[in-house]
Amino acid sequence: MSKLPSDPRGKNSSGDVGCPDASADKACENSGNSLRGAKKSGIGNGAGRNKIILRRCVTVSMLVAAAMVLSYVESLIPPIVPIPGVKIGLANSVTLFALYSLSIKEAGAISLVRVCLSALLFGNAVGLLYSASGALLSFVMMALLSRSRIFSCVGVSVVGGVAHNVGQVLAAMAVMQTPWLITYLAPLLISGVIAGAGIGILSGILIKKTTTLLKKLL
Amino acid sequence: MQEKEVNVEGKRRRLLADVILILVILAIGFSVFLIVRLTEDEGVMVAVRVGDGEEQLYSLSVDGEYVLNGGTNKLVISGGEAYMVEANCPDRTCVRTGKISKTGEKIVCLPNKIYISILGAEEVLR
Ligand SMILES: [Zn+2]
Repeated sequence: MSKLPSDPRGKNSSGDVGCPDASADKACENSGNSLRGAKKSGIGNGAGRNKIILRRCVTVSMLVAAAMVLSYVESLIPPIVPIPGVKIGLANSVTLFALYSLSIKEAGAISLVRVCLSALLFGNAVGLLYSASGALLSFVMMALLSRSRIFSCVGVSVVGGVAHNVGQVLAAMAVMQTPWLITYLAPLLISGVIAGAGIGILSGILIKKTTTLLKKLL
Repeated sequence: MQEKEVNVEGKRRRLLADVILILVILAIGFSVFLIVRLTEDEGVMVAVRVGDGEEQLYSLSVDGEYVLNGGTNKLVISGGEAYMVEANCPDRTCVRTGKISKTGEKIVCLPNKIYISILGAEEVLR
């Protein structure tokens, strides 16, 4: 894992900006180890480490804020398909970004805070159960797939979108004690693929554009 | 240089995997859609359940208006079709679902926990 203990910021692992996936994977490895690397090598000692910790905290907080804005924007858009549980999942792009550019832990924290806060601000208690189930299933699937590297971030996002929809409807079925709503499966899958692919392509561009900057900062 | 070639190779492989994934999910989606469409039948009864309460049955061939859940939602049965006309839920998904008349079709209002489904002749006899 930590191939570059002497260079916690991973400045010397450049040269693949043309490939968003590979560079994003590398970026996440580097940033995942940046704290540990700084500790091990003692570079910049206490002050330098604190600086990096502070920068990561600020980045995570800003991503939470961005996710909240996207959740709010999404709550203003009327549902496109009249099926309970179907959402575009704009805030999923932040989770995807954090999975590739930061770490699984930080992406999970952002996702958790976003779900709780948006339920408090623009939702209700019943809504929290559905959105939390959707977000949890989607996050677990995306976290696993983003590390397995079978798919690019578009494929990961597609699985996340479908899992989000299916998770919400599964929760709805549990609450309402109804059998599997098979009539909903087709629109859930198709809308999940379309929304997930769109979000994945946009996030991929964003991840690619910010890799170099984040490497310098974190 | 070699690393870059490996990257391009990996990128191509992942792009292919993405495309296959999307096609497989879409194929499953469309086959389920076809199966649902081919097996659906003309409905006979409308089953309405509010919260954990008992299921209420209404005939699709008798027109009427039903106030549900103490007035949060209003269901209309007219001309062999059932639809929600009024609802106080924020998402209004139930109203936007539109008219249902075939077996397996549903109107769900998650915020008010209302579940409306169409039953065919077989299900009613059972
Ligand atoms: Zn409703």
